[in-house]
Amino acid sequence: MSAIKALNPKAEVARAAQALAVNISAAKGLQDVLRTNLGPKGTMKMLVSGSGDIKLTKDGNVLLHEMQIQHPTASLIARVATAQDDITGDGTTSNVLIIGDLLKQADIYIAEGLHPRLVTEGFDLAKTKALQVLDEMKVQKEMNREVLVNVARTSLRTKVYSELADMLAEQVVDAVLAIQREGEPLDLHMVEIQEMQHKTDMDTSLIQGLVLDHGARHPDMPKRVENAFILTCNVSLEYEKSEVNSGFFYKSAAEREKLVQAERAFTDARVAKVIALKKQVCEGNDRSFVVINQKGIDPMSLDMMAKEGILALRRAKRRNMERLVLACGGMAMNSLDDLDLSCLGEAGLVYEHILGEDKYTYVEECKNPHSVTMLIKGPNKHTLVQIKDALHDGLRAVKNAIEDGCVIPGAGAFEIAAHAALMKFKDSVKGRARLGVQAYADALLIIPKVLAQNSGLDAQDAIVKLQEEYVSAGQPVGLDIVTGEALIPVDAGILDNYRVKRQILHSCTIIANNLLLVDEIMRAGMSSLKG
Amino acid sequence: MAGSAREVVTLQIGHYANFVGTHWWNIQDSSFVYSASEMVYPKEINHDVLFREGHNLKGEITYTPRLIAFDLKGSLRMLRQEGELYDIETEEDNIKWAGDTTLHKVDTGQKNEFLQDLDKDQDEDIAVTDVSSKDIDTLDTQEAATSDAHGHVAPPGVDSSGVVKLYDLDTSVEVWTDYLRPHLHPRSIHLVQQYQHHNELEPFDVFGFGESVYRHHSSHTEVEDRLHFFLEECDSLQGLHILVDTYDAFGGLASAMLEELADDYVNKGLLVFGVTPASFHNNTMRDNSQRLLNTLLSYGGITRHCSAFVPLTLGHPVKTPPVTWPNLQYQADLSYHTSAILASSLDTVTLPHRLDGQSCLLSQMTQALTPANRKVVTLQSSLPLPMTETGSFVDTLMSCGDQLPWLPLTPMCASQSEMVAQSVVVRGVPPDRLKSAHASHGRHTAQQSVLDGYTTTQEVLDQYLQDVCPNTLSASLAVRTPCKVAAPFPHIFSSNINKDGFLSPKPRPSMSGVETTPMMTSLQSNTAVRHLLDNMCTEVRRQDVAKVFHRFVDAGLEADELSETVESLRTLSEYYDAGR
Ligand SMILES: Nc1ncnc2c1ncn2[C@@H]1O[C@H](COP(=O)(O)OP(=O)(O)OP(=O)(O)O)[C@@H](O)[C@H]1O
Ligand SMILES: [Mg+2]
Repeated sequence: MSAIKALNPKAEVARAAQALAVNISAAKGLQDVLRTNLGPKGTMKMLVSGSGDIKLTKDGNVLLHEMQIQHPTASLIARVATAQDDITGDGTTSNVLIIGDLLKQADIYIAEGLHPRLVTEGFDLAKTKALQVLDEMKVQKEMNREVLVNVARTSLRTKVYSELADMLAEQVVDAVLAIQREGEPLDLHMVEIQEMQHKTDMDTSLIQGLVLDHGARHPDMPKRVENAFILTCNVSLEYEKSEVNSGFFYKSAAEREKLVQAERAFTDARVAKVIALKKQVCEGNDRSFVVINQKGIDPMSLDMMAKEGILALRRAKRRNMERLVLACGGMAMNSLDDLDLSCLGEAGLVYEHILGEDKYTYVEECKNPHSVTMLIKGPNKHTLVQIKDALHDGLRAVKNAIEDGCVIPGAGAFEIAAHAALMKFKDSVKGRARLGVQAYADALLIIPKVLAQNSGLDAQDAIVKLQEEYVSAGQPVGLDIVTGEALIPVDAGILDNYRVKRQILHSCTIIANNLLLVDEIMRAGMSSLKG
Repeated sequence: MAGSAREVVTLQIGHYANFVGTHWWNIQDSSFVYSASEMVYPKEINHDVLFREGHNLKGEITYTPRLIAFDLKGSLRMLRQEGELYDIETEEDNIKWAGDTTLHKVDTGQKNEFLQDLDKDQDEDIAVTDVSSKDIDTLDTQEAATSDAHGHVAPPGVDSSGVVKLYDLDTSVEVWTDYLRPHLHPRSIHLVQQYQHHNELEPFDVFGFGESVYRHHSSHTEVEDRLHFFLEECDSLQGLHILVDTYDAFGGLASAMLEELADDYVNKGLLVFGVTPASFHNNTMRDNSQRLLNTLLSYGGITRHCSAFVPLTLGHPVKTPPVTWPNLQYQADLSYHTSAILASSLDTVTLPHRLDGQSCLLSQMTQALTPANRKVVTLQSSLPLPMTETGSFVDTLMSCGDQLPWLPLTPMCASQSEMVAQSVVVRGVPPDRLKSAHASHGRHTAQQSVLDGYTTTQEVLDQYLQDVCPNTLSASLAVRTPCKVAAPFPHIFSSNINKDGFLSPKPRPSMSGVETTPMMTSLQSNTAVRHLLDNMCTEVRRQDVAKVFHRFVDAGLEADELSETVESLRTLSEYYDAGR
């Protein structure tokens, strides 16, 4: 390769330029698809598959997953953007928009003869500066419920209509606050998300406990109990046959019945232990008893327990075992040998709800639940899925804010401030790399521009107004998407996550640089470029 | 009736696994009998084992497979993931989003003739009865004959005069949903979100991809929900039938999933069928090495946790041309064809634990066939069982001479001498054709005279197996019901097979297909399995896997994992050596 370079450097440059053009057009293409998404006034997209499956979304990450991306560059960008989502849960759209504009801006200078490497040097300098601006803009205050609701609302209003967003914002914050425990990392998986195709989206609610999507399998078991002890266990209550000697294949039904009888005794003994504990703790009071088992419970065991008034659920999901204990207290028992009161959790109310062929069991009124359930309702599958996606975003936003201990003013405020700072910084940069800084600054403005465009405003007007206002106000200003005027995002409660913005700056810069230094990529990946 | 069956839940993991599974469900669905007057054979098969009865929100009874089918996004073409049975009418969606909403519709072409006819029949069915579901419970009882409340539905492609329509779907079937007959439950289809069907840029072709897809939190949750739905309701679960593509990343997904299933379903039968198409269109060294590695890792992962594992293909797990079968003219490069052969064999081999008043449990069968940890089991099949139009079952067996009447579906395991134990099923032998009518004249062997002395197919089969495989522990079962191979089963039968699946000197009219066929299968513990295992281990050493190996490492394969897997398969192979 180096030999060819020495002989014919022009050819090398030509090919690199061509590949760069390919990259830029791919990045633009992806940008075009996602730009209408950005912000609370972005376009909702209804995707309908050939068979009529519907997906309703405004989420950049969801859209990228739905698209059949056949271009390697586009696929690379998409992957980075979705990695952004995996890491922070947000910012996919911004990421794609900024990458697109970084390349567009760079292209202008490269066309005028600037070497891509100088552009990337400028990008790196600019990134460092922008990160500094970001740190200076942190709004550091106590992350109380009010601030968190603002963060959640900002995120959710970009995904679902505002009335629903506002309701979900409160629920999401309460859910996170419930599962938060002193000195332990926040585990969002302790918020169970349960879908129920029923009623409307506004009936979605936060349950201070668990909603399991199964019920008792015995007609005589109680449908509703109050003041209940909960036994959470992982013990088979099915009769288990012993080893079969390989000589025998198909036994007669009668022979098998005999075997069953003998082996039944084991299982019965286990069930008897449960019943004994129930008697011990419920005798002479008004308490009731619920068994939630990860393993199976066969009809005979169910019958024995039903006779004692026990409500028993079988085959509970693995993931719910930990949650049950967090919600109700007690312990998840792997054996029934040493049962006593301390093993048991408690719930004020346990009841069954039947919907078509689906049964749900609500385990509610838990005293101090560290696991809760978001019960999503809606008239059809795609509404449920849309809300579920939105909830994930909202939960992540709240968690991010708590962990960051700070937030960033939204509505384009950061990008306006960063642009201004970079324009000043540019002058201190020596050599042509400063053009890279300039390009970077301009690229960031894509965010407020597109926010304006998506709200039916003139992008240039909006930017000019914001920049003027920023200078005179001396504090971060963002775009009021209703009036097109400037607003103070912190006062308006438009708050973004710090780590999302930071991650965007990191990943945009890396990927743009890689795409600009295309000759290296070309060597590595040209063969797959035909797609 | 529901509740009395001992349930088996089916998992289909991979696109080819779904090809096989689809044929299998079609075979079952087309053998439902909707009224007593249609009942030709006594009811033998208990469909409640593999199907579940449910009801939708409109209160209509539904009857759908206990099935979870795993595939990639974009693989369903014309089928809605949620199906139609559980649709409820809601008022026109009023999207409350304040901004714009745009519609993006994907065009996936037209339904083929078969699917169109299926739609038509269903519309008519609904118009007549307002119940689109299949309530076959009633047909167990005689009432069904009198009160035809659910309407008589002609299977698709049968016109009012009863003439069976021929479909040629060879060119139009692209994906398995192109020939799926029964409705599926809305929770049955699981689409892997991270990978797309036929995306050559990011193919789902490395074992580790499947493992990480399974472990990814959101997909894990979704899979857990689906498993829970189908398994929790079973009062007396026998176990699971698990069909897996072992040559691509689905093998990794299945392996990771089996690990958890084995833990949660101790003592249940986890019967895994590893399936591989007979040929591939991408055949570079790289492709082959990659498939070999996937296959090897899948075998390793699956055998660690399953009750029994049956590798199945009409080709070879690694290379070599497809097997030719007498009386069949299938196209090895059509998954639609090869999967049909596998499916009919699976339908037959699983009959012992799917019968009314079952005499055998799935877990008993898997235990009996996996002595001394020999978890790899082989399948042999006879499709069609080569009975002539006028000949008898005894004649058919006798005409095989020293050969056993079946061919291997597990590659490299044809050896007759090494069968240790087997479960043999024969189906579709008419009772009046058990022995030849003119047994008295002509030369016949002593063996034949003995066989002619019996009065049931079962007895003849038992005796025959004792004669021809005296050193093999055999369990046998004879079922009256033949295998349904009507549309959309492909036209793979030679023209010397008549519409009832018997060999005939007259060629079958070109306008008529084969509708049912007698069959025979043998599921075996066969020590020849070690050839298959050894061969794979040797191939991995011989082939230059270095070119693709880094992809496996990138996908999470640990340093010693491959050599450990090879080692574990070698050990497995040695189990088959002992006591031979
Ligand atoms: N009420 C508001 N007024 C103005 N701008 C807002 C408002 N709410 C949010 N924004 C801005 O919208 C942007 C976020 O939009 P959006 O959530 O659609 O895209 P994203 O976060 O980049 O990508 P993703 O699709 O992954 O969520 C942020 O820049 C945020 O500051
Ligand atoms: Mg966002």
